[in-house]
Amino acid sequence: MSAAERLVYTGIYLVLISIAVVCVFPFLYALSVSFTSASEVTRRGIVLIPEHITLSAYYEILGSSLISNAYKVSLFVTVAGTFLNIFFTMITAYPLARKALPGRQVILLYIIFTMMFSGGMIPHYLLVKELGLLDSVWALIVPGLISAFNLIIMKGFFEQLPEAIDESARIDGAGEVRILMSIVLPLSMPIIATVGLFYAVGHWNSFFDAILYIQDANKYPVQLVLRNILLGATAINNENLPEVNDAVNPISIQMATVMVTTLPILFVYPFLQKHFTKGVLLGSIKG
Amino acid sequence: MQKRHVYILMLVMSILLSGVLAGCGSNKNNEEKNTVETTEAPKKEEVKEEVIEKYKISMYNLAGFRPTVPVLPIDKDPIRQMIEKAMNIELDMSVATNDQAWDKLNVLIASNQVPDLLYFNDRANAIKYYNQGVTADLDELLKHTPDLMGNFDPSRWEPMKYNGKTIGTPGVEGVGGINGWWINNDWLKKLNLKAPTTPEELLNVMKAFTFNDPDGNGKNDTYGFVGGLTKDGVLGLGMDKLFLMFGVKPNYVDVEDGKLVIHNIDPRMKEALTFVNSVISANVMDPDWVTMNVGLQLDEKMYKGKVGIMVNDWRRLEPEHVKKMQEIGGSVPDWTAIPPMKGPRGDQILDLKPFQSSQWAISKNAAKDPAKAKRIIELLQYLYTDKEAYPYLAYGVKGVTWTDEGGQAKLTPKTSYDEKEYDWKYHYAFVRRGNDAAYFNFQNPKTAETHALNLKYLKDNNVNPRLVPDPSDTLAVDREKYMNEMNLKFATGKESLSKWDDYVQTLQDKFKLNVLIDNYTAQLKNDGILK
Amino acid sequence: MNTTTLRQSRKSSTLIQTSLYRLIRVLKKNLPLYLFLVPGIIYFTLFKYVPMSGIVIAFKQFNLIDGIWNSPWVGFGNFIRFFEGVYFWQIMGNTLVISFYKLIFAFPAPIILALMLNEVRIAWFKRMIQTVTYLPHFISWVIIYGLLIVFMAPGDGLINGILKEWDLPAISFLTEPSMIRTLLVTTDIWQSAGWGAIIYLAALAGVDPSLYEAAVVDGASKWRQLWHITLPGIRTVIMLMLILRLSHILDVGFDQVFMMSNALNRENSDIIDTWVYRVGLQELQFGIATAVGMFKSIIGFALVLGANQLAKRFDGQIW
Repeated sequence: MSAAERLVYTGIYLVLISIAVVCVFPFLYALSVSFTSASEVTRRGIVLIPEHITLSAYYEILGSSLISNAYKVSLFVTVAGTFLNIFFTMITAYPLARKALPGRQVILLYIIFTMMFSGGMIPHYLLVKELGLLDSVWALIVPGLISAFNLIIMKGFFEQLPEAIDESARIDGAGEVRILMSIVLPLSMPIIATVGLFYAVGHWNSFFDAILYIQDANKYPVQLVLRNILLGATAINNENLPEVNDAVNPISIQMATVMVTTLPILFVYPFLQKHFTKGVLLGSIKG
Repeated sequence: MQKRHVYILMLVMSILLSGVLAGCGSNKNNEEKNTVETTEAPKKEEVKEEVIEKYKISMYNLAGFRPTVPVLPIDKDPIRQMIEKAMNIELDMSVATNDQAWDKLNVLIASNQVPDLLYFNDRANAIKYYNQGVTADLDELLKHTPDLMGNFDPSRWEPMKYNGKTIGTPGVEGVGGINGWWINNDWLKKLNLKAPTTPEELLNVMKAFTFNDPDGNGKNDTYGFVGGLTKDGVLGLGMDKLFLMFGVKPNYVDVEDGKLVIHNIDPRMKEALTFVNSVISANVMDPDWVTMNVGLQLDEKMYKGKVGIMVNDWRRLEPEHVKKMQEIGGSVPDWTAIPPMKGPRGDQILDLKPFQSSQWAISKNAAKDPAKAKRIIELLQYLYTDKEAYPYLAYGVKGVTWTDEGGQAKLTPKTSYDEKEYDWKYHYAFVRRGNDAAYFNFQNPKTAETHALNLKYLKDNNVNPRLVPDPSDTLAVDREKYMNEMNLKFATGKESLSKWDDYVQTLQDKFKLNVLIDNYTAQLKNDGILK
Repeated sequence: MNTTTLRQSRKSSTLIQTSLYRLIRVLKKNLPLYLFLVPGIIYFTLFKYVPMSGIVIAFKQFNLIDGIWNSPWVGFGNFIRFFEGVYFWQIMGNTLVISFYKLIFAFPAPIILALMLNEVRIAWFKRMIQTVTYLPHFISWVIIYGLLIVFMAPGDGLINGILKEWDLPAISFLTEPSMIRTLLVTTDIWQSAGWGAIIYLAALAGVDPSLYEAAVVDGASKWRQLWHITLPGIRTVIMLMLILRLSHILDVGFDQVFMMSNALNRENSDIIDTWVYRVGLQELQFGIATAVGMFKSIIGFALVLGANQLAKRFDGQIW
């Protein structure tokens, strides 16, 4: 390595470290505020290390009778939803990656069109209602079964796979299903990890579909329950009502909701990271 | 083998999906049948025996004070059991928070599931949905419930009228004089000043509080005043009270001497803006005012005790707030409530009287069945007038959240039960009366005095809240934005007040102010307020 | 005469037959692949195209009770009201400028981050940075604005507190019109760069390591490797992301702008979506909201079509 290159590398490390600090600092700030009493936060303005650590914000949040159910719902929607998402995205993306497939362009355009044009909230609600999915956790999964964005990303990845592989497999008499399952799938772990992460995080973070489709509070996902806590009891009443001033939640509770919603999904990433180095495997097969 | 396996799997899946498709068709048929049955059935039975019939009534309850708390299942909710039993109904209640309420309601309406009983937080909203054909006229129905009619003052019924029809029944009773002037009396004494009584004196006290080190700590860390502005840019959190000294209020419309007056273009508004600008440019306001838009932020400033004058809730000397002042500010200042300042024309106005804007409405769908509609209006009558039910509705569960002490209801201390467990009681508390001492349950005698003081300086408010925008006035929203922005620019000095005439001219030429004036004039003539 | 027509018709019928045979043969040959597509096509038809009928609202005076089909037609009235609005040029200009800034600054940010991470050879360090930079994606704009107030409020904010200590004038980060766009773009980068880098990292994982080995043997410098191996390796992904990004050229993030803008800086931050929120959604004018949405979609779709055509030259087309 030349001296200039070494300098560049030192630069890269320094830049990355400072980016990391900028990203993590507000998060750590939120963490320490969540362990501080509301009064202390107001008194000190900026709290980096609490004088008195209190768990009261967490008691307040986790004491909500809805929260344990909400975690179950979110876990189910995220796990089952992501599994179904990946399955259907994969079987749709796989044929579309075959440049020789007649009609491929039309189908792709048919799908891409939906990325821009949408009928709006009301027709979607009507459809979900007609399908009998209202007030069911499936209403949080089925309407988003395939994301056109993720589909195209996956298709793009499949196109990069060397065609020689499945040609040789076909000569061996393997069917499409076998090629997909035993050859393409193992090679696609980086993209499955990526798309799976996109889907999982999407499921975990979503709340608006639950606002519309779920009436039974016991089927609320975590994000909706905590969003309600976060925004406080912002009652609809706003004219001359003394009650309205009473129902705002202090910042320590807001920050605790950030922790409680973020930490579970945060731990997914490190588990997926190892798949991003699987490119090595691809190279060895190709070689 | 495996190949065929997966083909079969796919086939099954496609069949399933198409089954779902077909299912939605048949589903629809079923539902249509159902609705036909339900609308026809009661008519027949009505003739036979009306009383016995048990109705299922859906209630879109946005009136409760804790909308984030879910509605309990009926077996766990003694208050709903009480209501259902008394009215012989099944009450299907749903609640929603501010940010979700309208999306939810809109999809319910669009999918033909309009709730039977709906709450609107203000008149404009109620009229919007009435004009869309969602809610019904109630004049005929109200003849069944004279007690409900008698329960509210005519001045609270009057705003329920639209185009001569009664379209709602009064919702929550507003409380007047919530926010009033507070001043740090310790600082006044320290600087040897008297409580201000005019705008000029007010500005001088603000200056002294900012620059003369009223807390004596040797640091330049105090401010005379703090206010805020709403998301839309309307000066508020006390800033509006500065305008009222001059008899005007941003975005307000009034009838004076038999004429419609748009405050935003009134010469007095220019005067008020000049004063507000002098306050802002004197640097006597806490600079955070520009990012303040909720009461909690104002409270925090009060607890910190670095601002000497502010407009805040009359209940701030109650023990829980005093405790916070001690914890946060380190001491409890002698916060004193003072009357509003008297303006150059003798206006001494703190705020506007409450106007009955919130209301309950009955859906047109429900009104098609007269017997059911009657039951719904009787339900409202029960909720608002039944003397035995009132303490349960307003205070909650007897023996837990309140007790009966010799015929007088008394709230139990909140520490004696798990408050969170009983938050659902607030879903019914909308019937509480605005002057119910037991409900508000104040600990500090000063609180009542403060409120009495605030109530003295309320201005009549019978014009502005009744006016609704005309849907065909396509500039309404943009015009309001322009006025808010210009007011703000004049106030902060970004635009010189010498441009005032240009501003009024632009409003008239570009933003067609006359369309608004004509619309308002027509409405007020219709309501008999303008001749 | 007769025979010729007969011959002609026979000829054309055989032509139809042969093309039909060819079609059947193609279908037969690719049957498994087409079967794979069946659930996906059913999904997109049912969940995207069926509700898309709602788009007719754009040409109607939508009424909740009358519903989509029975509301009265107004032709292009909703579009005209948008285009002739007093603030049309302001909101259009703001939207385009903010969108352009985001394209210039926020689009490349995750690519640069991914390329830097790709050079890191210390595994734990790489993982840690990756995880940490992806953190902000989970913080909602409500919270981000709350944090901005903590750091940037004109009075009690951390930064202005420090400035005051040094007797320097306060900076109105949150209310000065000239600051808001910078604030929108930087917070956008902060929130999404780490998240956006994931896709590029996945693409980088797919670059054949033997190419680097060969380059090292050839004595190519790190720079040459970057130019000739790494960047070409992720070129298609970059083009793909760029094309998809163009489809949302007129979406600049309603949640973010709504949260962070206020009446004092609105002249530089009022965008199409915030206008639609005020004029369309809050006033139950769904026709206008849908019409504007349709306008945005058409622009986006046209750009995607054009960009895809362009991308064909670099073999980076989506279809």
